[in-house]
Parts: sequence; structure tokens; C-alpha cells
Amino acid sequence: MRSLALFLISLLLALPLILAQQDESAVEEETTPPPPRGSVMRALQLPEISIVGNLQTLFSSNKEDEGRNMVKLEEIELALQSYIYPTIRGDVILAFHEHTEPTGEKHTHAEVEEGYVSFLNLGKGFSLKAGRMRVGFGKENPIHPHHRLYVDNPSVLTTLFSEHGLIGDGATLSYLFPTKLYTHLDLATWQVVTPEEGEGMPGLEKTFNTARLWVSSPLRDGELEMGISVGRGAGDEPVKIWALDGTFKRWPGAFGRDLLRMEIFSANHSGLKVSGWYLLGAHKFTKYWEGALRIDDSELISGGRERAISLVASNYLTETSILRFQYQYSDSPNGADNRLWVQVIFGMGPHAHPLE
Amino acid sequence: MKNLGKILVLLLILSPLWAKIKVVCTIPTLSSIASEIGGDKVEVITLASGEKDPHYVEPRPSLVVHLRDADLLVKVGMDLDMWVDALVDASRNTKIFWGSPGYVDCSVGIKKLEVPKGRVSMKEGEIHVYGNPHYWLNPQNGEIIAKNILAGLLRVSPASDHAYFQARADRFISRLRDKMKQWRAKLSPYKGTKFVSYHRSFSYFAQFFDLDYFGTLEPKPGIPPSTAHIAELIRDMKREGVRLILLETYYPRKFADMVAKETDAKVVVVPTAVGATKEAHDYFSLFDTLTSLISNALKG
Repeated sequence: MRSLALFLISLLLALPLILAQQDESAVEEETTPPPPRGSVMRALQLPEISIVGNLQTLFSSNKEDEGRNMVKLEEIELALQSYIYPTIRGDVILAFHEHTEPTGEKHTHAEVEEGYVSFLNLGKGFSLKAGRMRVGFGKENPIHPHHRLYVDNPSVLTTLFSEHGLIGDGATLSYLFPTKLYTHLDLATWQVVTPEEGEGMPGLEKTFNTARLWVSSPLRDGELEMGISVGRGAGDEPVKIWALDGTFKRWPGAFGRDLLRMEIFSANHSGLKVSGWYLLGAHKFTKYWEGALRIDDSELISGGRERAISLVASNYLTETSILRFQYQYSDSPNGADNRLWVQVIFGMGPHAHPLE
Repeated sequence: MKNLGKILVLLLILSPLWAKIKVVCTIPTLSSIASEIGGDKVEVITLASGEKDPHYVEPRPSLVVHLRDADLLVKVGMDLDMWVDALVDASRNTKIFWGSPGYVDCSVGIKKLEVPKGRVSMKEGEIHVYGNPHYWLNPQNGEIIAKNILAGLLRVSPASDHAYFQARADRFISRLRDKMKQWRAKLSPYKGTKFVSYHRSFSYFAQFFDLDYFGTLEPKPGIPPSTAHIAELIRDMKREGVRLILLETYYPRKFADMVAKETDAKVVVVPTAVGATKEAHDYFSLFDTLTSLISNALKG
């Protein structure tokens, strides 16, 4: 019986490779187009290598804010990305950042933020990602911080998932429905890496299973996306979280973009209930400048609420290098605070993100 | 009832014979040529608008649906439309993955200009490692694009359609060669004319029409005009008597007007791709419009 179970597990693990091999005949080509995401490194069979740095200065009225009134290298992200088979991609993203221990001692940490293989086509609309990754729960959590339109996390995300966001080791089976409307379903299971114990929503530190349905449709000269995410932890009293997200984007003019996004979260664990939302509006005035407004409202795990309003101005120096200013007024049980961030994001190399 | 069943089975078997080949092109310029060759046997879908800068297109989920169903992906290549790569990955459609029969990179066979040599970095701005990608603006390259698309269609279509596509491609190329003579004649009085543009979009255009590409308002590709660069450009244009500024439809006009005011140059807003203006609705009318606008400006 045990042997049979082992055999079935082995077969399940090998299935993506077997299915991927069926497509091998499809890659014979009589012409020789250069590879996409061009890089001279391709010729050397090296992966695409890119670095994104996140430099910040925070001016804050709250004396307890870490890194207040100083220039701080928040994070360096090193990405190594490549196809490892015609229909399989590998992505490894290493993050280097400073971490303050509860004792106040500072250490520079190097960690695997993400490291996963993507089986891009298992056939019949299915694909699979396995490894460590930002969990596809809600709209913003899977997006890398340097790719967002603001400096800090929305309050509700920090409350539930910690500063680093919800990251897990696991696998996501995805299905793209054969419909005219873009309809995408993710089913996933995770061993949560962050939030660590004592951070974020209690009960998340163990196994967490998630599902997300994502629907998107063109609307006039824009696009409307809606998503619903549900997650359930393990144990007798599992943590339960759900999220609703909606995004409308339109692209007026040659370089313009208008964006309106809202996410609502609700979590429940052993009688502790936490909910919150944020609303984000952004307008890209020119190729180089974008303004954004974000309103946060979140219950806190320790009790009470945090409300905040942020104004953001971003100057896109290039596609991967951004100078950003964010002013925030927040009100929480600890009092009202004013914060101003100045952020420089600098990118080197052919950094690529999956569809977000 | 039995006969109805037989008819349905027959229809099911024969349906691939009249099913159209789904061709997805990244920009309307390629769609125009694909439609010329594919005729009634293809359904052509374009992902990006001709009014936008093709370098910056935001991938969105609804585009994945088109790619999921595509038999052929036709792209510019040379890293211009690399935004489509994430969409192709998300489509799960291995027929159009790089190297598959349904993958057409139209830059194959193009004699590429401004290919950087040696070390490449952002110090040179947002340069493309494979060279300047605006190759469709030399109409001779339209022929190469057509041949690449034809090769793709032949790879993914039944043999019974091959003569149809070949005949339409031959007709397109023949018409293009005739038009090239007209376009060249129209601008031949202005051979050697020095001009400036916002971005370096016209290298291939200048190559075909023997125009002299004097400079760009951008100091380097993708880098916004700076005061120092504009001042230097004005000085050089005055010295060399440069009187023509070609402005791509999607770039801001203020810098071009600023330079024109100082140099007495004419600013001509021109389409650089099919769909950029109403007049440039296909590959032929793109060059009709371009040559008319430029010759009218230089005549006066």
C-alpha cells in the first residue's frame, strides 16, 4: 500500500515533465529568430541577470519609525531568470536587506524571496508553478514592492501579512478557462515563509491553502479586472481569509494611464476578526510623471483601526528606474503621524515580471 | 435523424478546412501586411494601438485570450515588443512560443542598423541590443516582413492554402515595388535633406529616401530632452541649416516647437506606424502620408 502511494506521488511529480516533453516536436524551427527578452548573455547560455535597488529616506513625526530621517538601502533584489526547457521557466529572486532584531541589533540578510519553476503549459489550459513565491492572494500581494505605485504597503496588507507580504513554499495549479472573457483560476497550497510567527494574522504560520478566481474584460478603451481570493489554514481552528479586488485601467493618449483599484480583506482566527481595505487611484500625466492617491482603512490585530491617506508622485527616469515621493497622514491608536518618503528605485538588466 | 447525425459528423471533420487561421500581431503595421497576405483565410488581431509608442504597451489579461487562441504570433522583434513575452507565457499556447512554427519574428533577414558594439549599458539610454527596431519604415523591409509572415502562414496552414497565400504575397510585393518607385520619386528632390526627430525612429526611412539624419531631441534613446542638449542641438542646427523636424505622433510637441522657434525649422507631425493617424490606415497609405507630409513641408 505504501509502495503504491509512493509510486503515485512520484508519478504526480513527474507528470509536468512528461506532459512538457510531448511538445518537444513543436519547437523545431527552420528560421532562426533571436530569442525574446534579448540579451547577449543568451549566447553564453547564462540566465537573464538583473538587479533592482530600493533606496529610501523616511522623514517621520513618529519617533518609533525604523530608519527615520536617514538614507537607507531598503533592499537589493537580484533576479536570475531563464527558460530551463522550451515550456518551463525558472525564476530565482534573491533579496538582500537589513533586518533589526528585537534586541535592536542590525543584520544584513540575504534570502531567497522567490525561487520557482513555471510549467507554462501542462495542456488543456493548465499550468503549474512550484517553489517559493509571493502568494497569489489578492491583487497587490504577488506584485514585487519595487513594481508598485507607492513606497509602503497598504495598512491592511501589513496588518495581515507583515511588511514582507505573504510568501510561501508551495505549488499553484492554474487553469485558463476556454472562454472569451479572461477567466483564470489558481488553486494553491503553501507552507508560509512570511509572515513569521508573531507577525501578521495569527494562524498563518502553518499550512495555508488558497484559491483565486481572476476575471478580466476589455471595457471601452480600458480594462476591468475583478478577483476573489479565499484562503484557509490548517488545524482545528484554521485561519480563514478572503479578499475581493477590482481594478479599472484605461490608457488615454499616447502615454497616459488612469488606474482605480480597491481591495477588501477579511480574516478570522479563533474569534479574532480583522478586516480592512484600501483604495488606489493613479493618473499618468506624461511618459515620465505619474500621480497617485491611496486611502487605507484597516483594523489592527492589537485592536483599534489605522486610517491613512497618501499622496504619491513618481518620476519614471527609465522603465526600471524611478524617483518617487510619498506623503502620508495616518491616524492609529498610537496617535496621528506625518510621513514623507523619498524613494529611488534603480534597475539594471532585463528584469521581467509575469503578467500581473 | 440518422442522416442529421452523419451530416454533423461530416461538418465536424470538415470544419478545419474553412476555419480561419488566427493571426495575432503586436502592432497594426504588421497586421496590415498579414491581412494583405492572408486575405479571407485569416483572422487578424492586433494587440497594440498604432497611436501608442510601441516600446511601452502595458500587458493586460484580455490580450492573453487572443494569444491563447492564436495559430500565428507576428512580432517586430529586436526587443521592441518584448511586452508580449509575458502574455505569451500566460497564454499557455505552445504553438506560438519562441521557436515554434507559429512564432514569426519579422526582423529575421532585416539588415539591421545601429547595432551596438561592445559593452551595452543604460549609459547609452534605452538602446536595443539587436539594433534600431523601427525597420518597417524602409519599404524595402516591407518585402522581408511579408516573406517572414508568408513563411509563418505556410508553416501553420494546410497545403491546399499555400498557393493562395503565395499568390497574395507576390501581389503585395509587386504592388509594393511599384509604390516604392512613386514614393522615392516624390522625395527625390529632397535627397540629402538634413532633419531632426524626437526619437531615433527614422533611420531606416532615411536610409531608403537618402535623407540625412542630423539628430534627435532626445539626447539618448528613451531619455527626455535636457536643456543642455536642446541648446546644443539648436546651435548645431543653425550652423548646418537644418530646417526640418519630424515629430512622431505620440511625443510631446513643446520641445520640437521650442527648437523650431530658434532655428526656423518646420515641425511636421508624422505617423511612424499604421494606425498612428486616420490617413495611415495600411502599409501603403502610411508611406503615402509620410511622403506627402514631408514633400509638402519642404516644398513650401
